[in-house]
Amino acid sequence: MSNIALSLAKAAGWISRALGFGGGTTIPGMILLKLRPRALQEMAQELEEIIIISATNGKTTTARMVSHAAHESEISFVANTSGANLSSGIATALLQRNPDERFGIFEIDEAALPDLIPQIRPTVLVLMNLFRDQLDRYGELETTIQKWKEMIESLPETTKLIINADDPALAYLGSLHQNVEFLGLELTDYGSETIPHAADSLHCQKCDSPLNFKQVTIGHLGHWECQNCGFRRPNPSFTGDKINLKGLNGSEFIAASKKDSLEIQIPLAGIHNVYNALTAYATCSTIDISTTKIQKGLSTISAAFGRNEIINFDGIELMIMLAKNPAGANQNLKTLLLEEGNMHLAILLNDRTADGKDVSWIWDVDYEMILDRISSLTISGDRAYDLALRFHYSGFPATSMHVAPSIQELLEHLKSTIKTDGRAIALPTYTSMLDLRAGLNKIGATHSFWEEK
Amino acid sequence: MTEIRICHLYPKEMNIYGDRGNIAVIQKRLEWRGYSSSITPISTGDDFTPTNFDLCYLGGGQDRDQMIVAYDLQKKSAALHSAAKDGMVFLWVCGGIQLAGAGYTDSEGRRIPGVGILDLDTSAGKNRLIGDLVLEAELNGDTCKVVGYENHAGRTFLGPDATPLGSVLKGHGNNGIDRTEGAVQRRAIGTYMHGPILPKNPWLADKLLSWAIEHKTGKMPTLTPLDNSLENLAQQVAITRAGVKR
Repeated sequence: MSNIALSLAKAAGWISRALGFGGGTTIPGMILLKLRPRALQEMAQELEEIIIISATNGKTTTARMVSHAAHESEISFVANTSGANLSSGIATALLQRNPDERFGIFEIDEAALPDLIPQIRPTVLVLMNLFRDQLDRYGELETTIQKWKEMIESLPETTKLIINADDPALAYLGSLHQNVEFLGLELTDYGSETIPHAADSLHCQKCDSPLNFKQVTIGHLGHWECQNCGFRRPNPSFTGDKINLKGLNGSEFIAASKKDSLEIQIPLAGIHNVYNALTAYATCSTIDISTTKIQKGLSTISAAFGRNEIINFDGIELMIMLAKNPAGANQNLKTLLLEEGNMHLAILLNDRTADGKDVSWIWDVDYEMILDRISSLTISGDRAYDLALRFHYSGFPATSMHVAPSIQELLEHLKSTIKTDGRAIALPTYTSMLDLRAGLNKIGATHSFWEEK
Repeated sequence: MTEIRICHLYPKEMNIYGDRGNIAVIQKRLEWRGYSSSITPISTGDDFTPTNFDLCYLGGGQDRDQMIVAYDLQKKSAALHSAAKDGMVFLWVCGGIQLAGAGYTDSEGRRIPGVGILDLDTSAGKNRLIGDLVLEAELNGDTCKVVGYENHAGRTFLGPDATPLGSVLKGHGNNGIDRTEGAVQRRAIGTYMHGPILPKNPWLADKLLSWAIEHKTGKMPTLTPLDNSLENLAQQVAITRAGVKR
């Protein structure tokens, strides 16, 4: 490959960081792909095993879990761990790869995935879930499902597909490929019989009839069956059972496959992280990482930036839970309900490109479930007043919420409300999470996200 | 206490743009003024009885769901026409405005029938019209800025019996050509605007409420003024971020 293109692109990352423009987790790749459009294909060819993970929710955390177990197993790999999950981010990661790294572990944006698959040609493709998300950017969920369908129909037989059977649309896509393994959660006390308001894939992909659900875990994920044609959740070969959610402290469950069964403990909260861990287990098991390494890798994982990440400032423990779409936000709220007592809550809403410019989605979040558990509510972000209206019309007293126009004011307000040794929860959208971390960074409370690996 | 009866059409299928926010605003603004309200979800296969309701809401959905709904709606067409004639209030948003018209011709030339309570027709355009939407709206001679978001492939053109809800200050509106947005005919309103539309636009919400109260009681009410400071701030921010000067 042209050395000039490579050197230029590598230098750009260094310059970007030096000038304070940001992490340079995407710029080198962006420049490389401009200079050399086939660079992804050429660089990916040099890898022996390529794992690609995609989903609306959970892909960053799951890729991080797989990476952690791979690290335990002394596999040397390249990964895009900073959440830079478009072609530019993957190209940057590959550009900075050491020649001895023979594995690739990438999480990829669900809309960018169909174009990238033929270039990167994964050996293992992991599809976790599809929820409504940023309709202005991704379009309708059905559009993504159709694009994924075409993508799967053109996959070579050698590509191993790992699919979440609990997502009806994905299970259908999985049924179109021979080389597929399904995963799913067994019936659990944390499931429900009622479908939440923001559920999406409720009709059979085969015959359009309504689906019946015996259990719903998140959104439209669960145990489902078509009323009309009988198409039903495939029997998973990787299962999660005996789930125990220990509030914000973490979760445990029994993961099982045809080969083995093991207890998995993770320091991450909520049933969504059980899905993430089960997916990581299935993926690791597929590439022959031993159960002890998987167990160890998962039990020692820390949160990906902004995902259940705890940052301390001025005696306050601030837990940041990224909430960027209805399914993810609802899941965070449900997880918070597992905790005792009332909470200090900060919610941040931006409407920039990476957040989705349409803020309608906040009305599809079931904030009502936590109203009587809020001891203080601080609202911030570019569209703070839209959030304030969301709470106003849910009956939450306007006098009990505080709108903080800037991150600095948000942090100061939390400080004055909570005093010392308290805990606060922040639910930000993507760019407001970056703003929040930058604000915390300014007062010396965190590190820059591109330093993470 | 006077009860205002609200019909929510196809809430399971047509709900993708925060539509229940519109319902919440209608309910709360009634409640804050001493009216009670009931919400009746009407789904595929259910009967729609025109004399049972004062206000009928239909929101936006995915193409696939909109198709399922369109055929069911045909069975309710006569009842809907009778309700519209009787002065029932309609707010039909996004996919709703398309279903309220004569029909929708999709990108492959297939025709999806509408119910024709609004004099308009829609066909699919090449690209989706997406972005902030700001209007100068007019109802009963009153004007007000209305702000929200649009995301639709349909190009809608009005016939002579419908008047636009407003003229476009920012965004695309009905078709991206004639600067019109939405449609009004008697007390039926169709619009592409979500966000959802009512929380940030209390002027429009209150118009709908007073019509619904008049439909129920036979008398146009004088609505108690509410504190709209949060609503106005949210509207201001949205208008400014859309790049329109107030």
